[in-house]
Amino acid sequence: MVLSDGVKERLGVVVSAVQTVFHWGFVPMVLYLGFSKGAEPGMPPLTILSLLWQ
Amino acid sequence: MGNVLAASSGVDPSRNTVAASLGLPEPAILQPIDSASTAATAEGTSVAKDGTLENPGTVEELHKKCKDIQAMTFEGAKIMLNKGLSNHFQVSHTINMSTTVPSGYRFGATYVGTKQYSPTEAFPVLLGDIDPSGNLNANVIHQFSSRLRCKFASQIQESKMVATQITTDYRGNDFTASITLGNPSIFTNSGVIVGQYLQSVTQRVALGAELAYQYGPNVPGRQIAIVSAVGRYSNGDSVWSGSLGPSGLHLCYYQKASDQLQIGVEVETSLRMQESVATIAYQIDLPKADLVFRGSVDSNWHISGVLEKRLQPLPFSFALSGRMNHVKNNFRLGCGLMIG
Repeated sequence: MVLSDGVKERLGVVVSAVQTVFHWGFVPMVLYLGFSKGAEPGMPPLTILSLLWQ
Repeated sequence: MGNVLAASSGVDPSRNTVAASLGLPEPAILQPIDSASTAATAEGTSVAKDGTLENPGTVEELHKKCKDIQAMTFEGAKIMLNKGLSNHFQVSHTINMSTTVPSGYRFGATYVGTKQYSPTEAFPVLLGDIDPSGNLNANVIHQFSSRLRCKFASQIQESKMVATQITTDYRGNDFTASITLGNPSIFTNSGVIVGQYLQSVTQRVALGAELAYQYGPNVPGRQIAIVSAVGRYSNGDSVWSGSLGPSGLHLCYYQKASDQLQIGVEVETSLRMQESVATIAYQIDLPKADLVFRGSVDSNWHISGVLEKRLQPLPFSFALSGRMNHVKNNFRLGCGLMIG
């Protein structure tokens, strides 16, 4: 597959943006999914501090 | 805590031969012979009498039994705090002090979804592991159907994606086909594609092949393809497995001697490096003492041992690791404490 330099440059911008979002967004996303699932029934609700201690 | 713990304890370091040789990140492999095949084994035991073949597992797991009992040594001190926040969510804090690997703090988070194909596993699984300077290891595993599973693993260091790997496994009734895409880049026009196929031939024998294709400007002749043949013969408590290709020969033998003792022998010959390494390893389980010991000796005169003990009734487990080479006169000691 041959890409012209202009296309490569623009693709590079998109790829690096996606990569940056993934880099800094992945762990927060995992935490968000975990928190949105919530605590087990009967357990105290999760807070940010429950990442460190109960 | 079942799901999260099962998922995280099943994460299997450096078992992927292809990934290891390419320097790719270690993909998180969940429970060894996975859900699909657990289900297959469960029904397989009843169906086996009819002569039906079972799913052989993936090529990646071919030498797994032998590899699993080898001592995975580490160096320095390690403290790990695991905190299960719910059945679907777990975080970990790790402090590592060592001279060989980067020291410092790492934060890990694991999320396990709700889609279940077997009682022990749920999908999707997301594992993230990051240190304060932003070095990230990310793993995503999802099972789309009872046969199709995808894994994505990526490693970011100094804001550069140093390794990426995408694997898709398809498990048929008596075969597994996998395709792996490593470090694909449209800018440098480079990457690695590995196709693997393993077929149960009889109830004891599984045969398969692996095709690795690498392309890119740094590769001699811009592209290179390597085909290797793989096979496994399992007989009761013993397993022979081997792979043979132009780059070398890899042969493993595993024997479960008793409930406490498992023994493995491995010979790996590399034609490119013109060298062979043989390893004898054993694992002793003492469930009454909550203790697991793995020891190994190899033909480079490395003697390694790892002792893991759970300090019941406290939620602690303690690990002691040692690796010694009398010829090179070096010694590495590691000790670790895992809380939770």
